[in-house]
Parts: sequence; structure tokens; C-alpha cells
Amino acid sequence: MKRMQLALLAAVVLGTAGCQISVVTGVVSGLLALGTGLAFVLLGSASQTGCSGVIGPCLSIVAPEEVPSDRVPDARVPDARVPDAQLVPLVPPPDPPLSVCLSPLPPPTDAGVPRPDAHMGPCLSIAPPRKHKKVPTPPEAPLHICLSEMEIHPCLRMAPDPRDPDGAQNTPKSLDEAAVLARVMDRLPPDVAARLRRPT
Amino acid sequence: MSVSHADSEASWSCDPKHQVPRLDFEFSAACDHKCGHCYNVWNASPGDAQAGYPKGQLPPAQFRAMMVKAVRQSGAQHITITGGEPLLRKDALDLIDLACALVPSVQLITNGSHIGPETAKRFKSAGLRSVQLTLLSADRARHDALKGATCFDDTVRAALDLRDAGVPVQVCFVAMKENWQDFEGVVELCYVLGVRNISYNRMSPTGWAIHDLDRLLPLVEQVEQNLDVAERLGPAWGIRVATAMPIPPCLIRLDRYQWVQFGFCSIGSHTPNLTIDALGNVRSCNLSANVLGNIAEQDWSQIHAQPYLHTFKKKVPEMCRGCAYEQSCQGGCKESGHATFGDLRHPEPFLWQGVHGTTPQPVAGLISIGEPPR
Repeated sequence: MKRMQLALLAAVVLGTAGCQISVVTGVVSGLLALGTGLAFVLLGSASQTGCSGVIGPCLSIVAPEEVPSDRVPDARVPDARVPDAQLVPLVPPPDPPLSVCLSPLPPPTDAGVPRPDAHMGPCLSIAPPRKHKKVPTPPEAPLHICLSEMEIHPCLRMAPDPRDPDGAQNTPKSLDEAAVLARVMDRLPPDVAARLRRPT
Repeated sequence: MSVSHADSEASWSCDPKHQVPRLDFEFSAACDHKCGHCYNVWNASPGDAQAGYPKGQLPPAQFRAMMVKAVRQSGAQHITITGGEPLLRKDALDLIDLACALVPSVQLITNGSHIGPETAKRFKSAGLRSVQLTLLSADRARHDALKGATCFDDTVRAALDLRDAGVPVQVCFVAMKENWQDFEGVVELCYVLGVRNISYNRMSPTGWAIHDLDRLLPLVEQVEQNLDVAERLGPAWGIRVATAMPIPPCLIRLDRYQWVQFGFCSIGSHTPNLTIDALGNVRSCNLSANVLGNIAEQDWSQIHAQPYLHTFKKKVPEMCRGCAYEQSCQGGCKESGHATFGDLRHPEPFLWQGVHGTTPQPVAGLISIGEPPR
């Protein structure tokens, strides 16, 4: 039920956002559809898994023809996470659609590393309508849409799940120390496992 | 073992114009593992762009003198000891003592098959800063298959021996198409072994490895998923993850990863990892086959003044021209581009694959990058 409510809420917000298509190429229009589809998928899967917080940190969407059929995630899997969900080409294009802009490449820091808030290219970001910029040049394939906490439209943000504000229920299995120890110890030679069990 | 009077009082002096912060010494070209991804340039095949690199080893006394001269004249304050397998040298432990006496910081890169409790204690007393071991999988059979040797048990024992002796351990994971899915298991294993530093390196082909790109070269999305694992598990377990092989930011958004420390090519920078082999030949890095000179026969200032080091950064792939990261990223590992395609300006295999979506095939000897100075 909550999933449906979230999806409905997102649809209403998106519909009233008054966004406009800024890029008229067919490829980018297709990506718009993917972006919106992604948002719905995320909202749906996240609500199902009790995920909290902001969508992100970053998603990439490949062009539809590049999506292998076997990569479509199963939303019923409890820990279906963003990296899989991002590959799903779903749902019809939004009406009105989201704005899309190409982010300029920022200069690196003095140390030569990308700035923490850098928008990398070739990359498309979904931005709030008022921040829309003209696309200077359509990017070359493979196209990516990257969403991050900084770039994502506010309407796509999710409030923390009141039942699980810290997201504790979503702790990946691999963070379970006992399970890790069991897995690793099982693979080690007996003498090494015995040494590890001894207090140091 | 103490440094001899002749060594410690050697009259070599450093010209500040040619000072470098660190040196890598390849103690030996020999190795008892047979890694498919081995980057050692002396293993290049005939006809390859890196073919014909000289192998050999100075006699012990001459090697010691060469080390002292190189450190004194370059002003280096850090030494990384590597190979081949450095511990295959009979005088390896003495040379490690010497290195620790020469500079305040020494790291040893070893395959882990030659470290026992006593050796680990010797490292501790010498003052070794850290030892880097390689784990390609947390699964014994897979690790051993990728290393071409029965060595998994030796490596994890070595990690514990070093831990017990109080020598910090760093684990190197080389991400390949065959093992990228094993990274999470290696992070888990590191956590259990008490290792808190991982050097994550996506495979960068040089040497013989250029002939097996289909099997070895990881895809961009595979590296990306590994970085996601590092970002998730690293902070949770206090394991630092740093990359040494450059990852072009046009392929992967590095700013997504706040935990992972990314490194780019250091050639031509203020902190190059100039490499000296067992014969005294100096190269711009351990992936380069271009000999700048021989420190046993020439002075450091003469070698360090070689134009190769100073023109290197200007040679970038055409597709990288105008990119905001042109000078920092430089298109990834250009020595790998040269090893594979014979041209420093050719997009290196990882970049090529990321852009074109297909695995490149090596083309040797297209363009010469110049003859060694001797």
C-alpha cells in the first residue's frame, strides 16, 4: 500500500512540476523516460524494502537497447538495490517530462582529483526545472544519467521511514560480523583459523 | 645488520633540482608465482612494444653501493622494495636492513610465500613501515589458480605472522574480469585478518599480460561495483581503500566515492615513483620499459634530467584534449597504452574498452618512444 502511495505521490509531484523537455533529440527523450521510470522503480523498491533517506548516491542508466534482459531486477528480492534497479527501462515517459541538462566539467582541485561536488561528463543530470541549461552537444554513446544527492530533483527525495529512521534493517548481510567470520573462517587453513580465534 | 661505514658515509650528495621523494627498487626479476596479470616489463614477448628489456642482477656488493648512491643522490625519503619477488634474493633481508637505515620509510611488496614468524620479527626490528601482500580471492582454489602457485595459505599465514610481529600489512587486490566478484570476499578476509589497508588496482596490462586482455581486463561496470563495495564496507569496518592504477573520471564518477582514495599517474609529477631494477636501470615507473639511465654508471642528476620525464605529461590521447582532467588523469595509464598499442598517446586498454565497449587487441611496435640513453 505504501508503495502505491509513494508512486502516486511521485506522479502528482512530477505532473505538477511544470518541467519541460530541454533536449529534443530522440536519444535524450528516451533517457528522460528511463529516468522517470527509474524514479518510480526506486520509490517502489525502496518502500518495499523499508529503505530510508535520499536516493543515491548515484545511478547510471544505460540506453534501452543496451540493457541485457537478465539484468532486470526482481523487486521482490528484499535487498534489490540501486545498482540493479538502475538498469530497468520501464514506464511511459512522464507528462510533462523532467528537465535534463548536461553538466559542465568542473576544474579539478589543485591536487588533481575531482572535486567532491563535481559533475562528470559525458553525463546527464536531472536538475530542478529552474536550473535547466541548454545542452551544448549531445553526448556520445554510451549515455548515462547520473543522479546524486546534489543533483536529484527535490520531488524525488524520500523522507526517512519512521519505522526505521536509521535504516538499520537494511544493513547488508556482509556487515553481519558473525556471518562474515563464519564465511571466512570456513575457508582458512585450520591453523590460521585457530590463531584467529585466539585472543591477541 | 648495520650499514657499513663506507655506505653510511658515502659522499654522494643530492642536487635539490633533482630531488625526488621516493624510489622503488626491484630486487630481483625472478618470481616463483605465475600471475596471469603480471605487469613486469621483462616478461614482454618478442615483438611487443616492451620486448627486449634486460634481465639480470648486480652482485651483492655492487647492488648495495648502487642503492646507497641512488638514495643519497636523489634525496629520497621513502623506498618501496618490489620485484619480481624480492625475497628470492639471498641477501634480501640484509638489503631491507640497509634500506631501513637509509630512509625513514620503507615498504615491502612481496608475494607472501617467504615470510615466517622469524622473518616477520626481522622486519619489525629493521623498522619496515608496512608489507604489501596480494590477495586475489578469499577462496583458496581461485586465488591459487590466478596466482599460478599454491600460495593462499602462505599468504594468510604471512599476514598473521606480520600482525603478531607488529608489522602493518596492506593487501593488494588486482581487479580482473576473472576475479572482480571476489573483491567483497577479500575485504571480508582482510577484516578478519586485521588488515586495515587495501590497495585496489584495476588490472592495467603491461608486460606479458597484454596478450590476455579478453580474459583479464575488467569492465568499467565491474570496477564500479567493486568501488561500491569499498564505499559500503570500508567505512563500516575501518578499512582504508586506495587505488594506485588510475581510473579515468570520464568512465566512473569518482566523486561518488568519498571513502576511496584515487590515485593518478605520477610520472612527471612532483612525486614520481621512479623505479630502479636489479641492474641499476632507472625507469619512470615499474610499468615502463623505457630506461632513463643506469644509476650504477651515471649520476642521478643526469638520469633525472632525461626529457622523457618532462615531456610525458604532454602526451595524452587526442580524445582527452580539452578535458578538465587532461593533466591530472592523462587518460589513465599511458605506459599500458604504450605496452599494448606501441604509443603513449593511444588510449590505454581500460579507457579504450570503456569508450568503445570492446576489448582492444594489442598492436606492437607502431611508434617508437625513443631509444634508451645508453
